Amino acid sequence: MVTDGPYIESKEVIGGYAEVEVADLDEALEIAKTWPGQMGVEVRPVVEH
Amino acid sequence: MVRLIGNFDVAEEVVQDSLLAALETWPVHGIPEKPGAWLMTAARRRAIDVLRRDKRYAEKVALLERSTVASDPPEADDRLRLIFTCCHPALAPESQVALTLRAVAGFTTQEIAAAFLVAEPTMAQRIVRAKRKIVEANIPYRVPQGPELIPRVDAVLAVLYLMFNEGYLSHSPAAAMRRDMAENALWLTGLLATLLPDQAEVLGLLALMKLHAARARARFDAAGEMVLLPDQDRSLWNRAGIAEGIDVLHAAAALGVTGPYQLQAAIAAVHAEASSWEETDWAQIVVLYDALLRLTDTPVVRLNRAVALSRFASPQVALGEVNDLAISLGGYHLFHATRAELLDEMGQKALAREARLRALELCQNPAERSLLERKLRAS
Repeated sequence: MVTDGPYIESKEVIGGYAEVEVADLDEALEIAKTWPGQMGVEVRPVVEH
Repeated sequence: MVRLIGNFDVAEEVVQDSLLAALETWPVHGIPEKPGAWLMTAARRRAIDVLRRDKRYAEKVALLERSTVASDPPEADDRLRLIFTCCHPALAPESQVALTLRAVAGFTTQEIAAAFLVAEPTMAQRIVRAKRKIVEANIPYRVPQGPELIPRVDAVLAVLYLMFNEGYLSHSPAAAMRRDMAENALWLTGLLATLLPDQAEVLGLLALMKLHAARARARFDAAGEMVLLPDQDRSLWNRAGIAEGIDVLHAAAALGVTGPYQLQAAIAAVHAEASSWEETDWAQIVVLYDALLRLTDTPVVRLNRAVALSRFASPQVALGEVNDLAISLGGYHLFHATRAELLDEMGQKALAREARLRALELCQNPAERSLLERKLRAS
């Protein structure tokens, strides 16, 4: 029987954080400001170019 | 009502009628002291009216009239007995589960279709056929006893699992998570565990639910947006609840019969025991998924294993596995969302966007949709 299920991997890991390529923090903040929702947006560096 | 009347369609009709009556009466006269008993009485009265229309049910009318006098609320384990009764072996396992979700858990056809990863019309047909079979075969709605009970446990567990799943992350556009549905499933599974304490998979499912429920507070923020695992505030996790879940899992393992629910609980336990996202033991999770695959090789299990694999190995390796599932999971939004995520990690932005748009088309849950939309705006 193939069914859906409460799997953490697809349901709590995927869809995750947004990775965006930007030159600096200011640009990242500009992008983050356009996102909907009243929740806070956290900006974290992943790779430094 | 199904137990009382012995007919799904009439039971459905009268329950809906009595709910309507409640909606009309309660705001005017106030909510009665025992809403459940009120609804049962209203449904019984309505059932008498409906059944009177049909002479075949003459005997049952007399029965119902007698029981109207004692309008105590249904016993606490009424639903559990009803689930057992509906999971009738004359039906194929999938139909047992689908029909029970419809009749007892109050799922819509759309929600059942999503739980089984099939199109809604397909599921609607299956339910109609299952109902007809029950009517034609004149299958009694009685509670199985003794040796009849155990063979039905698998289907009952599947019903409770899917009820919990719907509560954990809903398939309907109305709510992101349905706490009451998850709590009901957890409560009923706990009850089943006290009735069948030697069934390892009953305990396994109970452990799985406890481990998920213990993390529930951290999964959504105040605005109702999803908070994904890497960003969850682990101090909001209920440590006592996690410990309880792990205890139950140990009790299940001690019975010496492994099974899919125990393995899923073990995977949830690895996450629940990680002190941070970075500390997650992905190698262990992949091993557990491998064991799960040996027991139930389904595309949904493979998809989730691939997500773990992307952390343990690489997104390229994971994407290869995910792409193999395209035919079986083409209608499942999490297949496309997973592809999008892996493609993003590999820098394939255009393909990722395409996959994410497809995921959005297939997704109903408001919080999941909001997440996908946010990611699309960022791409």
